[in-house]
Amino acid sequence: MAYKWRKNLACFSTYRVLERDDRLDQFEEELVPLDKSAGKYKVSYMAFYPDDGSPKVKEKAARNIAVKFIRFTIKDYKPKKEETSQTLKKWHGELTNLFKDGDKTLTDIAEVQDEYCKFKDEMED
Amino acid sequence: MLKIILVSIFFYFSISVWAEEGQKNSEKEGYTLKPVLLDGSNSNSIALGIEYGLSNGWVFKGEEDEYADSDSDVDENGYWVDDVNKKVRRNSGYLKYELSGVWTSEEETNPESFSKVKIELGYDYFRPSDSWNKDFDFYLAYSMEGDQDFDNRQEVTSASFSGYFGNPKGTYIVSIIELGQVDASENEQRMALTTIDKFDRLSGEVAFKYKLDFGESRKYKPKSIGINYRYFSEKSAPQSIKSAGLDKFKRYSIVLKFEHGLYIAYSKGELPFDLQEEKVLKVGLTHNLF
Repeated sequence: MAYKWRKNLACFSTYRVLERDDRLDQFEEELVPLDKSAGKYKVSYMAFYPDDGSPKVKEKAARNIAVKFIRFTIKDYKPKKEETSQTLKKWHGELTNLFKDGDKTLTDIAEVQDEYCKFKDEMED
Repeated sequence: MLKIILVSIFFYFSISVWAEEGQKNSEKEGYTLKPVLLDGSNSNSIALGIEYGLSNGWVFKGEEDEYADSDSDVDENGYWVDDVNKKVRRNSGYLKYELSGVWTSEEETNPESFSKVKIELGYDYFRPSDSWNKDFDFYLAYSMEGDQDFDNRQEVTSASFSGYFGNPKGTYIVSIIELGQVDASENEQRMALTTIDKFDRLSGEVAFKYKLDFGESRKYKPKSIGINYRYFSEKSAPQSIKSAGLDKFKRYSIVLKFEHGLYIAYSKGELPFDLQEEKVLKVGLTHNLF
């Protein structure tokens, strides 16, 4: 079943890391509020996305923003690894594939975050 | 000639690396195999086909890759450790292949008759950091696309180099240079002028993105400005192609980007026939504000 944009830390962290001025600052909260519609926000709308670039340019841009995205996620939200077989390299690879595809959305990114991260709202006290 | 040289280098390099490198490791592998119902566009019949895909890749690992695969990406309590810069960086060769297509028992009933093989051998240098990210690669690639049995096919052989520099603020520049052999047999415009359907092409691209920051009150201010320039030149083009202006293509675009996919762009020039699908912006002044 397709992943849904909802109130959890996977979606919240995805939104905040991309939105905050002192993080990746790809869009403004005033124009893209954190509600249901935010999940439909496309990668191609983001400031970093090279609209008219070749696939290689898109891959390079994606690969590099994916590193920063992971770093801020770990720094700000301190998630646990979801499964022991996962690695930072695989996580980075999956995010790179999303960031280079302009049709992907915040929901798609949040799905990968949920797959690789156990956030505080999923941890037992 | 170019193809022969590149394929020779490709196989020589492959064999050399395999012979010397005992640490090759499968990094990316996967396959898909699923039945599909194909609705013929010219008939009322429906054909049962198989959609398949197979890919695998190897990295010829150095110490950095060994480190990336170690268990040190979590602390003793299972929390991810911020060690991404070191974990994803690369300084190694790689080899990968992809095979994909749609197959039916009788090709005539397959409206999506398609198959593709691609092999890529390259070297990847990737250095993310807190200041400037550096990302370079060089690769030789061979691909063959055709109908399901490769009865009709086109082949592309190329050598490419690309480089990326980017800072943490989101400003970056990418440059690419490629020498490849192009199969233009599907290009009716060209084939009306010459019988030479394969040619060597030198191409280059520079993409620059500057992240704009207007401080607090920037609700309706642009977020970034991007400039892209692409150049293509056919080597030893026949006079008929030169006269028609099809031996060289240049294209540049400038995009001022706002929120929600809104932009104002100016672009000029064209891409070659086989790369038209990569073109997003129309030639001239375009906007997508409302």
